[in-house]
Amino acid sequence: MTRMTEAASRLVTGWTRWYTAGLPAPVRERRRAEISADIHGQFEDARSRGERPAVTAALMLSRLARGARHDLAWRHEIDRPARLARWQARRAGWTAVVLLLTLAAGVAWLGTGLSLRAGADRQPLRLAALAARQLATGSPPGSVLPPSIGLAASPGPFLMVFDRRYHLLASSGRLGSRAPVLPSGVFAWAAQHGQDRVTWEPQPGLREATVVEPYGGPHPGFVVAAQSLGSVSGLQLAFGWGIGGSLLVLIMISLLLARLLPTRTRPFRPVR
Amino acid sequence: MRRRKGELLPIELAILAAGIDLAAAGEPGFYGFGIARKIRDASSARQLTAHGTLYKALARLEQAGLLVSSWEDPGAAVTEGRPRRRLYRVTPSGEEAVAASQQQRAHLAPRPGLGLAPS
Repeated sequence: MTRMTEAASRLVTGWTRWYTAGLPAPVRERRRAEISADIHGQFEDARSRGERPAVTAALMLSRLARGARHDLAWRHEIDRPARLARWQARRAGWTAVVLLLTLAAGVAWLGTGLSLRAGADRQPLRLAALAARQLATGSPPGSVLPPSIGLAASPGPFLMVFDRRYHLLASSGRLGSRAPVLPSGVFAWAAQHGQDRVTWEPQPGLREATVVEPYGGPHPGFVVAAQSLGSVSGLQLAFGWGIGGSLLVLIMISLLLARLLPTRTRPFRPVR
Repeated sequence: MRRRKGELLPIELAILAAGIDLAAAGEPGFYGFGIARKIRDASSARQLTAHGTLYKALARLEQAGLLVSSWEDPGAAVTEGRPRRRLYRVTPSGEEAVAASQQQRAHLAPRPGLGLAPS
């Protein structure tokens, strides 16, 4: 056997090993053995006819190339019951993988959402604490306010100061031409627990991370600091789409692997 | 190639016809390459039937009951120092199918005086 015929033989046996991989052992071994006998027969025939090795190698590769689509069609037909059996055997495992992936995605989405939301409280917490300290020392309500903003147009922080009967004393936030109205229930909760953190929606689509804190001093009352959740909502939405898309891709990949991955087979010993 | 029920493809007919010839010549069974060589020699072609085409057709004919196959005696392969062969035989159904197919082809062949003539 020359290097050319050896290479042709290796290609044919390699191809056969590939397209029979994962088939039931009797079917797989039969086809491989038949191809082995065929290769040997072709070499013997070529030798008896005095055919040049290069021609034999070319003819053998031609047989491989011309029949490749039939090999694949045969494989597809033969493998149909095995594919079904493999899928049935792997379906439970695949379902568990999908459930785990969905659970992990849900935990990641929820955890990140909560973390983003908690992070949005930082600035209002700082503002409320600072203002409460100044008000407790007798500073007038108007002096503790940051620059005035319109809530609908600006995502920046704003502050509101109330007396102990929940009457508004000063506000740096405006909704139209008036100060936004805060539900009075939050004052009672803050008075009882020392602080309240809520998501406040002063008008539909306008969500604010809000901190309510009571203050003492000569004229006690409540300070309310808030900041728009617009950017946080955008991040939460983008993250949700990212996680949802990744989950879908992972489910598709796991489905393809579960359906298409062949089982392990014994090595194919080519003809020498 | 799309075919009608019971109709044999040219490669299937060639395999069965070659198998019948080999049996008539005293060979009890034929293996894959043996049939490819017989078909090549019978048609004076240079090319052998492709592996995929040949073995897919053999599998289809066996499934249809037109061929049967079995492994040859391992001793024969060992003695001759070659891989063991899967030997095929044409069944009586296979012989009938070839006869029917040949009859049908003869019936469909153009006969003098029939067919369209230029106007």
